[in-house]
Amino acid sequence: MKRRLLAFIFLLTLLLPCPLKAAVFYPQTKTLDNELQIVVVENHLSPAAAFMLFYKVGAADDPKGQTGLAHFLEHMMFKGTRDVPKGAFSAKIAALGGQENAYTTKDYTAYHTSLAAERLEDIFALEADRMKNLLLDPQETLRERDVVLNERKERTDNSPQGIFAEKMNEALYGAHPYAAPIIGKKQDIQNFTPQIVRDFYERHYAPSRAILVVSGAVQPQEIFALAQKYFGEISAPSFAAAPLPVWTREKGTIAVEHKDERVKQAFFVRRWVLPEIKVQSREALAFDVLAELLAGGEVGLAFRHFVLDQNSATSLSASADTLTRGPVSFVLSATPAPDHDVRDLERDVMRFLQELAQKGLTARTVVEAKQRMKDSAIFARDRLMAPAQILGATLAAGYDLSFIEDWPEHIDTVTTKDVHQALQTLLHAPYQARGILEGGA
Amino acid sequence: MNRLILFFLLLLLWPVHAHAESTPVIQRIKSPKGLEAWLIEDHKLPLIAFQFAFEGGVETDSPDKQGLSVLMASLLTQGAGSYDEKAFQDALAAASIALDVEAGRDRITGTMKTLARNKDEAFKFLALALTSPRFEQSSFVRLKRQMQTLRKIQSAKPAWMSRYTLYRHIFQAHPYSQRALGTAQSLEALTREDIKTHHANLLARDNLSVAVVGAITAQELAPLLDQIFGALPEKSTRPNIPPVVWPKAPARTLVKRQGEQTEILFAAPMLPRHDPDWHAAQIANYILGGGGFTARLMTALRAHQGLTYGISTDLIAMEKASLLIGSVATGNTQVRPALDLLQTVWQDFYKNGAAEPEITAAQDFLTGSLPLSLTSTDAMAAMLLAMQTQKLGMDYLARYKERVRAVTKDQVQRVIQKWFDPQQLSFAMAGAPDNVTFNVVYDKIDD
Repeated sequence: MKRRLLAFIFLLTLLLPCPLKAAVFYPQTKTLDNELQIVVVENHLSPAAAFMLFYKVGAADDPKGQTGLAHFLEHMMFKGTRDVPKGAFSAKIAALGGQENAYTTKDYTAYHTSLAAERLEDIFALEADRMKNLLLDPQETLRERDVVLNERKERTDNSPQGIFAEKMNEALYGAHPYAAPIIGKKQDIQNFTPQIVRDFYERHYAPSRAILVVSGAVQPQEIFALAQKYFGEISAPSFAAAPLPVWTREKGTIAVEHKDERVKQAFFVRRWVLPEIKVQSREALAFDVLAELLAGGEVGLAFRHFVLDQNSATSLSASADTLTRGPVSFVLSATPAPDHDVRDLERDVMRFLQELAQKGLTARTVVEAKQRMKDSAIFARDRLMAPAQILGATLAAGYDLSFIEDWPEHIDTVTTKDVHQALQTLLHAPYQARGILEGGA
Repeated sequence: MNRLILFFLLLLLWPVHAHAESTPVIQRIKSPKGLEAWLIEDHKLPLIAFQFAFEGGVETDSPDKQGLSVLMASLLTQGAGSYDEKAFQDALAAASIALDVEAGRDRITGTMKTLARNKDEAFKFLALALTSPRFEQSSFVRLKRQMQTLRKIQSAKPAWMSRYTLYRHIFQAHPYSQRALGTAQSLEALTREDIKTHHANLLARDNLSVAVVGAITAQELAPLLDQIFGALPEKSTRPNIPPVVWPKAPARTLVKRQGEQTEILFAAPMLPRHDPDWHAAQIANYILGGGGFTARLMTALRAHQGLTYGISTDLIAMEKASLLIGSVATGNTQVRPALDLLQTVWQDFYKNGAAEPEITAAQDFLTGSLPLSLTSTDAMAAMLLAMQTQKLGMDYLARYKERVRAVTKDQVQRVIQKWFDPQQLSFAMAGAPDNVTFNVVYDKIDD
């Protein structure tokens, strides 16, 4: 008996740090009877942990005429419950040495707390409490509207870049919910009432719509047990999320030319929506590789050409959004160098893409871009909250955990032809917006 | 329970608990040539974070050569040894080596992050960048132009406008008032000779600190230090920068900017980092404005009145000056009520001091959150580097909690009395506020 236990312990210690294949975060997962999914990523670099609770409801789920509601509810979640009055939530976490905040995206809402791992249990209690017992005091609701209107001013109304970004979004997405600003339109925010917020809260905040992710110096079994203890009893009615509407925008490239005399440096942005690209597919991932190939680090092909060789741009960047509930999208932007015209630069960049598509891509540049991307997965483990953020966002977008764990392999399967096809797709894509932000009245 | 089983269970549990109780072990490494580095060896991830600092940064730029330190630092990674700028960047990218060198106010700092499997290459390229940068004409011209563009983008932002005018008032003729990215004229006038001279003056062995965290041993690191830094001159040549003398009267400045909102920055003198009352000042700042949603200012202006999305204060310790600095943004018509409330809350804090439970809560946070400043190899390396450049001592992390706990209520009150007088606050705004008077109004700021 003794000997067998000993052998067993040795076997365990051999197995633990030695995974069979190279994945990314090595998460462990469990789903409670009430459908709350729990994900744990162990990271013992420091004695800290990040606790994140994702609700699968974001700005894309805001009802018509109530843009900004998901974000507004996120604010109200800090305004107290029966047992934890206003301000007590933050005070308790501060007393534990923790740091808490939240954010709302188009697809989901996330609440996060980082703190010493040994003090994690209190957060379970606090988060479970506000999942079902939110007060939504009328006075507080009115006051928070002012806070959010001030936030909107800071992010958007007072910033030429913010206003421009809103216009671009509208032009790109048309009637699709992704067109609306996450923070909401001013007139919508002004009309929020406690009842509107309560209806939204009761409809969307339930264990079956939530994902709990803990990353840090923790043991998965302990986290599963704590989740059962604090969240296991919650059985609020759950509604399935309404699917996002089908894509209906008219074909074409819509131009947004925004002038603001507060702007001293012009730049251009080109954005694409690709509703025909299947999400989670190899052809979708090809757009991630394309972005890296064009503008990754200081070695991307387009960056090299315009910033180093032509000296006509001082910066150039590109990225794809493939981890999304809605359609895949792509964005490219560049800032002209002194004495260069922003429209000339835009024309040259588009021409460069066309020539690149005609010339074709070399296998070497694709392999190098993929290698950089795979290496970045190792660096992502060297962060406390990033693994929780990435995995939570993945599940909230409706993907499987394996999408991230097998990501390096998926990236490997993307071929030169796939990336070339992605570039061709962009050049002929029917849904685009092109924008220029510049000075002058 | 069977003793042997107990023993093994303990063995399994032990490392976790020991880790939770203690701070990481810091080793002091000496190279054969006498160069020093602080190391936290950790093999949990196959990575190495390597950071270094050379004392003397933007403050060493003479007024007609503003922008020199930033340009010199940026050029270090644009080609070195036999590698031109493209070959150099290609080689770094191929091995996923991230290497950045930046010029801060007081020092040039560098960060390198590499996969352990590529460390030989990483250290080779780091050595080349520091000891034989090419400073090619093409890179020199290109980065200068990039800085001109950055200056334009930066100078259109209200947060930058208020900071620039605040520093201009506080620091006056002191080098701290200078623009890190230079002026249009000073940038234009810089030559490659300037860059080379500045490099030779600033990068040396006597003003160097090194911090390393990750999958590397002390035996590996010691000889590497000589390979990387050994070829640098023994001594740096830097101007002697005097301490900041604060202006006698606080000021209220405005940069006119159209829009719905005004950006407000405010600051007062603060005690220096090495003052024994530093932790008491940290506690006082936490209670008044540093403590996020629990701070008095945030509670009053945001939670009770909805006047702003956020207000916060912070302590900034530079080599030649320390600041208590804060910021808030609010609608133009709300600036007056926001300033009045800020004044009321601040005056009450100054007059009546902090309550015992507030001090305890601040101590709870400051001690409890220590693990959060050490959650990645980069964060740990940055901490090790700061401990050296700010001369906090090797036992800083180990003794941090007891030192913060040892602060008494009397000490906090004394610091508040001396350093938290609302009459000392200077304000710098950018926007179009209603009903506020100013000593200085700028119609615009040069690009």
